[in-house]
Amino acid sequence: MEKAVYIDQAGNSYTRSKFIRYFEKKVMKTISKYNMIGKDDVVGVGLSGGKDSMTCLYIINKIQRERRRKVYAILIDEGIKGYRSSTIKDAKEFCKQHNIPLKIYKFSDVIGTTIDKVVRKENPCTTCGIFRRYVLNKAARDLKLDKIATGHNLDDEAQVLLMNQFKGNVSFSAKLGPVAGVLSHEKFIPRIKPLYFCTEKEVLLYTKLMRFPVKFIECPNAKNSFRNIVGDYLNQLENQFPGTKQGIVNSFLAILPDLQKRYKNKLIGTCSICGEPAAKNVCRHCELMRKFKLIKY
Amino acid sequence: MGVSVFIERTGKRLRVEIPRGYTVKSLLGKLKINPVSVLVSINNEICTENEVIKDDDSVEIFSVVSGG
Repeated sequence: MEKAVYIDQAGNSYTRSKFIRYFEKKVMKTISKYNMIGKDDVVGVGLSGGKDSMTCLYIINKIQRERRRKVYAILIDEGIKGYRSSTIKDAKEFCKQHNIPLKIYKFSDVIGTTIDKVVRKENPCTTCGIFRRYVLNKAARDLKLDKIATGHNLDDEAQVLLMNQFKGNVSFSAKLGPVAGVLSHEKFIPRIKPLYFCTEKEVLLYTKLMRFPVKFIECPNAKNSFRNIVGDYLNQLENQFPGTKQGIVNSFLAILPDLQKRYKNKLIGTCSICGEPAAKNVCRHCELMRKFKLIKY
Repeated sequence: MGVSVFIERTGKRLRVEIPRGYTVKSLLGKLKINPVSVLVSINNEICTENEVIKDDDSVEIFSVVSGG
């Protein structure tokens, strides 16, 4: 008899094949419910070489192949010594194996610096996130994409929601959700999160069962990050009160339309320096570029 | 009885003495590891927390948390 690999909250057991079906069905349902991919859409998937983005890429590739539409893997090299080189190798192998075109964009080429060079000047995770979103959006336009898919999962969303709550950044939460749809800007390529309702544990289990080449490599800058602390806290809560993360996200989704309405004007704008989408007169990317003296405006 | 335990996040391999009938859940409790944050395999096969560990089994504990 095939052994169980997973037990859900209701106590149902799943064998390998049953879990794979359950997981893929959950992702497909999310894509369909939020109308994430149009039938003619060209989709790019942000690939880090980690479990979430690799899973997202695998499933999106499956869908796009059936529709005979293009898919690209986009890998951003932030310039973090001893971290990114290993994941680039895994990403290259994975894309070669599944015949997916891989495009690599380096911070050093697009922005003119690396995270290693600016890490002492500013919070590395915040800086990296702002630069990554900027480069990803540019890459998406460069490749003429209709959508960018990312590997964000239920844990990621619950963590960010709590972080925004703790820091009083409620308006930032209006940009979250399965589809980053509030930004209607000619230069903004919509972001979709097909793994939105999958827990981090489910994603890892899927990658293990599918034998994807994923290793655990921790970013040296993320070890004591606020996100990791919030993540540990959430896992403790989830262990004591199963369903906590899902509850946080469900509660958020119930008020998201109101948040989007309330912060609509704050979310749509154009940066006076680079012309990219911005919440203020100058986008956060250009604010940092000024701070690091990489631009003179 | 003794089992070999490899913890991926720390890269450490331990020899742990446990009583017969010990489950994966009990082992994680003994090691003070939150079951929500890990996935476990016994002799290279992914298992649930209810799995009973046998003498000389090789247990691997994988971190669920992303590295970046």
